Amino acid sequence: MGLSDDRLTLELALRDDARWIDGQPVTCEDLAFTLEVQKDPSLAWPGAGYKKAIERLECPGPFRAVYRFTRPGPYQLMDINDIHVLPRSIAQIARKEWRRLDWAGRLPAAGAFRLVAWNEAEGIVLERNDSFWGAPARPLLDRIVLRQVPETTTLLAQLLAGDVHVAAGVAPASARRLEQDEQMQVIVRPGWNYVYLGYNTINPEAYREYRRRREAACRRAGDEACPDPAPEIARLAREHPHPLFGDARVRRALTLGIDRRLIIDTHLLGYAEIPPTPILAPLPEHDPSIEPLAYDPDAARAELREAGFADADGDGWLERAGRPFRFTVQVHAGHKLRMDAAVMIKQQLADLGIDMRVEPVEPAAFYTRLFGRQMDSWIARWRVSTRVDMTELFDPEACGTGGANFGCFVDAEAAALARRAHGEIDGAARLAAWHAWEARFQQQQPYTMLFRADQFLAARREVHGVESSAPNDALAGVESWWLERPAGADRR
Amino acid sequence: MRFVAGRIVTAAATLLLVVTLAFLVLELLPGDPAGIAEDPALGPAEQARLRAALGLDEPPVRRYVTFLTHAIRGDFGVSIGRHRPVRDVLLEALGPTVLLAGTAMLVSLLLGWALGTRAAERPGGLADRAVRTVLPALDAVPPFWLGLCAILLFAWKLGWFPAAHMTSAAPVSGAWGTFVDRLVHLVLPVSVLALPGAAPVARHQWSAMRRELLRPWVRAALANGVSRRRVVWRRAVRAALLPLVTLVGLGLPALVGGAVVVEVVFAWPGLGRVHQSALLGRDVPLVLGGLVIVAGAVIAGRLLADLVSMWVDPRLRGGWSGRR
Repeated sequence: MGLSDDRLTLELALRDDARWIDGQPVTCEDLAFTLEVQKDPSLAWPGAGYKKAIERLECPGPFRAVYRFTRPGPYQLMDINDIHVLPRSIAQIARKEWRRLDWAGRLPAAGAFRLVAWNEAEGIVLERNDSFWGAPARPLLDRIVLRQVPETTTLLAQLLAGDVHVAAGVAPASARRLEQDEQMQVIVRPGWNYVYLGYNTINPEAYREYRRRREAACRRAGDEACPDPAPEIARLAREHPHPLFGDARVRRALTLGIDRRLIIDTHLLGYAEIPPTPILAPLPEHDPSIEPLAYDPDAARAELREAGFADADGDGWLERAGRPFRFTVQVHAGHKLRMDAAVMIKQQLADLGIDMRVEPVEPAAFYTRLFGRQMDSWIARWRVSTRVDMTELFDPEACGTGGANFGCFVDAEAAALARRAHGEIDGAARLAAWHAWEARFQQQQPYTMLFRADQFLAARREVHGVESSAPNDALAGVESWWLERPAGADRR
Repeated sequence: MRFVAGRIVTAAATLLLVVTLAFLVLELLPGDPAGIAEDPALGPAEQARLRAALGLDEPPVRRYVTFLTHAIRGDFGVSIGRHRPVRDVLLEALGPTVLLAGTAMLVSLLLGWALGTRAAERPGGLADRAVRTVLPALDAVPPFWLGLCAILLFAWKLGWFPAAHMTSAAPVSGAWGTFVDRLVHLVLPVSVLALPGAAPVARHQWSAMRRELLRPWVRAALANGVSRRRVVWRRAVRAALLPLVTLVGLGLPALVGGAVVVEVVFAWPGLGRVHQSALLGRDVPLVLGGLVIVAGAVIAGRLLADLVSMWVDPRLRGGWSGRR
């Protein structure tokens, strides 16, 4: 059992007591069916990319599974384990019907709870699976009801009135209020996401001119999609840098000139941290010795002076070669916190002589503009995976259409480090490469990392075991939760 | 009958226009209809496959025609956000909305009608003061704010009623238990919708009753010894029904609009909440399906109000059929 020396074979022994709700055992055949479904192009499962390196799954017996990989990788266990196992019994349902099918009641479970109802009126209703094979330490909860409450005040009132036992996604102000209530417990954890200020490193005029020529060529070739090829966009970034953000000194100056702690204290009531890089703690790939750049307006001014910016005409705004330091940051209009942050950043940068304008953008238009490189700068958020791969965000190969290097940050040293780290199998060497990449990120500042907000789970005191919940999975470990109720009352 | 047929054709044409405009607006909005392009985790090939799986790779005109031909059969496609047939989602949400909006309309009509009648009958009395001050004040308050105040006072501080949802999370046994459970969940959202809604009803009823009570036949009836109670409640009330029926027809869109806000505040699992989340998520099939249902209900409500008016005042039948 385990991973072979060449890391191309992973053998698993499955429990022989795990059962689906219909009594059938969970076997290797179910795993094979799941893998086949995940790789089926007609279903277009978003995580299919994680399965690319898995060549096939062999089943020497019902409870033995052998995965064969095309290449070794650092996250092979995660790759095989991504998303839940599906029962082979659903194979009889034609796949073209899957997207149109109401799955409530059709999908057998194998976990601690079974789905009883999933509809608008009741929400998602789960009941204890009496044939659960996991042998929990305590009896399972009889019933779990999951419901959406769109309005924060309503949720708060329900929690305080005892109508609701657990609430996920509580806002900081509500969490502070709940912490003062002796009937409540609030679990605070750093979220697995971060909000950043992104920069376009390509000269917009050069890009527009490139795009005009490219579209003419596409029309001639009959290519309707007309995507941006990554190498050409990366070349543009190198040869025609953005007049402001093509310069690392300017990006560093902006990071130094933004008081991120003040933003956090003002709008998140202190419930956030400033991550120095996109590799978040406590991932081992993150170097804990790296500190975020501290707020230092004098150092910011020095960087700007070195980059050639000065207030030559004495109007209070910086200029370089007669052009004022002026830019627009575009913000997703649906996110009030990001708008608030943008307004504070504008004020702080004005103190440095930088004229930053804030433009709220309707959600769909925001992404259209971002992907179409119609932004100088933007505020957005990334959710973080525990698979660390910075080539997705910062490699020149990710500069084209479909890539996530929206600002086309091109730095040969950072790219080489990220590629080396991404392909490295040896644990220590991989970590060293990522730590070096973080140092380069710190120096180059392709993003200004704004904050990593805490996430809250609030629960009434009578609910025990909720510490097992995770920031991105409130119900993690729910099979160990239990409810303290007066004698004679039903568990719920 | 010609009138009814004519109104039905007009209603169908209005519905088609509403749906076409909605499709056009959603199509013209920038960005991807399904938000697929907003997910950087999807590569171009996966995005293309997902678009094809959802039928989004078709030209807009073909998608529009497909939507209409399927919608006529009651098939609105599959919700992109909920991964379920739109018809199932809407049918589940329709019942709670009808329950909430219907109960609220009934309560606002009965309350407004009773208060308006009483206020006209007894000027300066308690009902008169309520019609002149309390109800207009409630009508002036945004339903969102009124809902939150009701939750904070009656759900949290006093604990009299549940703050949200249509049913309790705990299982309820028996038909009586289910009825009571629904009833207590209805109290706050219905009150927030019905109390402001009663204000215009009461005002119209008060005005109509005042007019009726000043007519010579009322004075003649009273002079002939008919009791005031009989005159007011048997004769004058019926005579004042017509403006009330008109008001119901005109007030239906406002009630549906108000129900959207109230459904969000009280987490009521109705069409309003479904529609709101569909709009925010650019779930085009669900938005269009919901629009057909809501617009259809409003248009049908107006048609029904016209028919009831015709029944209440037979003179209108002649006018509509061209025999005036």
